[in-house]
Amino acid sequence: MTAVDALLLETVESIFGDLCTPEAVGAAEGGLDARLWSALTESGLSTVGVAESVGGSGGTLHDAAAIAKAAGRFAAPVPLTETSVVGGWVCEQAGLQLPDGPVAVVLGGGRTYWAPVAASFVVVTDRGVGVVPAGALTVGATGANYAGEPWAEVTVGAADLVAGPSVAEAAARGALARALLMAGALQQAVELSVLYANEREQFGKPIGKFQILQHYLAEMAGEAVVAEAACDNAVDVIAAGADSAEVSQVIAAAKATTGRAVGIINRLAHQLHGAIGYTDEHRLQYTTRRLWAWRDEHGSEAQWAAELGRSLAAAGGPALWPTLVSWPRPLAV
Amino acid sequence: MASRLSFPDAALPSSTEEIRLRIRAFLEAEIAAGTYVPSCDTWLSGHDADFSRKLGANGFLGLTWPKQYGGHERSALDRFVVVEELLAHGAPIAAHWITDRQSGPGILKHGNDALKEELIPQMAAGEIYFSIGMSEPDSGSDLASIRSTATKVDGGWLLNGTKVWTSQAHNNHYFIVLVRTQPIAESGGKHNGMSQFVMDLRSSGVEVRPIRLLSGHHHFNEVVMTDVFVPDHMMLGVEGNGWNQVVGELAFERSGPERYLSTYPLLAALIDAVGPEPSAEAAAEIGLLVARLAGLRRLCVSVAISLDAGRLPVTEAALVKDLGTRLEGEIPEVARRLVAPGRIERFDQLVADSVLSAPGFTLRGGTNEILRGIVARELGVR
Repeated sequence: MTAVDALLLETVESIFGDLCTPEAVGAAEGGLDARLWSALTESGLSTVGVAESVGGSGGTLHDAAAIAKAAGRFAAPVPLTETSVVGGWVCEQAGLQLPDGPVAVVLGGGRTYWAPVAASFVVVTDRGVGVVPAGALTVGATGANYAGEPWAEVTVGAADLVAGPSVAEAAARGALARALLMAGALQQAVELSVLYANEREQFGKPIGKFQILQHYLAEMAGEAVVAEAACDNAVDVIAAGADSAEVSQVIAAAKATTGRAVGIINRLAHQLHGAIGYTDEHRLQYTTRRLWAWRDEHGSEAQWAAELGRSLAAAGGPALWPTLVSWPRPLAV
Repeated sequence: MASRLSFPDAALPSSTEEIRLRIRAFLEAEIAAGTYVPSCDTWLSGHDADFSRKLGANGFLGLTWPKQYGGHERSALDRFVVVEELLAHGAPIAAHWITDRQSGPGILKHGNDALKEELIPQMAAGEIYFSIGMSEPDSGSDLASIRSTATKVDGGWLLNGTKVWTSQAHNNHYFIVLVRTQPIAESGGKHNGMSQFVMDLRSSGVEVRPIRLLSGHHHFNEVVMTDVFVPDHMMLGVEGNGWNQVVGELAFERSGPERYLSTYPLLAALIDAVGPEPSAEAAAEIGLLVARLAGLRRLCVSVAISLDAGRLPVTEAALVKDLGTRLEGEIPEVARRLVAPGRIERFDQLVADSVLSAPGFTLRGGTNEILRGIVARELGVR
């Protein structure tokens, strides 16, 4: 596994920790947090994992994945992964310059996450890919997901297109981005639940003393860990240079596993937090609303699981084991 | 918090590839020759001494043990790879399973030279087999409450008591038995005063009684010991240190690939049974099982790498076992929903074996309730 720079992670967590307060996250709903976006841009963190030759900050997919997980953990209200993991990647593949500012990725047209606040669109069609200023495309109806992250219907008009990733490949990349965000947010839901179990007292003792809640917490931790493992498999396998079909498989596994974990972890986290946990004033909701939204975006767990299942069935039972043991690849030491 | 649990490196070294290809070729040849039919849960129920001897003769047992005792001095990760291939190919490995996994390592770590010289070479050859003597009728999850005793006599010890859930005691040669050598009242704590012995299961005073399972299978036994004489040199490790010796091995016992691969042969057969163009529902169910399995395997490899590096990831192992044993129990549930019985005989057999063995998955080696308690403590619940 490729080690992620400890200093990089420290910087990321310190920026998110300072700026992603519950107040700031709440206030940003419907748009983005401009202060946070500036801080990330100034430190070069918004384009980690994108080659310097196309205007990114350089660094590996592992670095970008670590930042994405942290963004999910802190509920960062910015289109960070749209810009780096998805948009930046499309640009790098196509040799296009990644423009400054927040990016939204138009996947063939239609609902485009973060479009209302994007400075530029990375347009992906099956005829080619391109980069245009946000004003250059027709933006229709707008809305927001459960967590107030905005989207808009975007129509792709005439644009200068060059050869690049297909819509399906870019959509898979979007699913990877959501899976990474979810891996971080799932961890946060577990962490908040442990804190609350220790601090809330009933019957004269912290509720974490009750065995049933200890078991909830262990189950949540397990689902969070296995979901993160599926994401880490995906990142390792993609970084090792897998072909497009295998990239789709490992991303499918990551999105399916994280999406499944949301159903379990959100339910138990809210059960454990009692009524206060689903009020507006408790910060758990910034995490759980994002998780409910992200599991549906760029393909639900059912869609991705079916995609993975179809490719495994086509390959046949005997092919499964060699596939499983190649995730992640053995490492030359 | 999840980050208190640590699953660092998860990629096996490429040096393990050679033995993976070798064991896989061996197993494919055995299957093709009709030596065995891949089955589920074979690490507990597939007792086949010929097959175990063949594995020994081909150098696949005692992989990490010293060459002077017939071992191969290879890495623990080479052994991990061999074991996961054996499980994935549904091979009959119950005869030597406990021997290779924990009895041999336990004797090498705690045994005296005479014991090692007498037993380890035969263990590495796949010729003698061991069982576990821990649980008792009134001591399951609360293992420290065991009542079996060993009393010092001239030249050895007299063992008395009853052990239960002793898999394959009727087929195996020895078990490593945990008994009290000092009463709790004198030992200064419940966890003190226990010792381990290597006991010949054919000694006089030993009665092995079968316990049949609801499936009709017989691998469990009750072992009743009445004044069984065990010579001094068969004590394993230090008198009174039995508890620590047992607990120190739990991470090894709990984290292996047998904790999520018991029903793998059924999963592979399920993929073939639904055919190359499954319904969306079948594809989604299979896809989700495999997605989770792939994540779990990563965690399992990570624990193996940690163990190999000398760490003792007890909590991580408990978490992997909780997740893995539940997943291996879900595979037959999905399989029977997706493929109606009466179409493929071998598939039906795999489903039946899995459904009827599944209750054991989340019990053996520490119930999932005990495991979750361990995980919760590590998460920081006070």
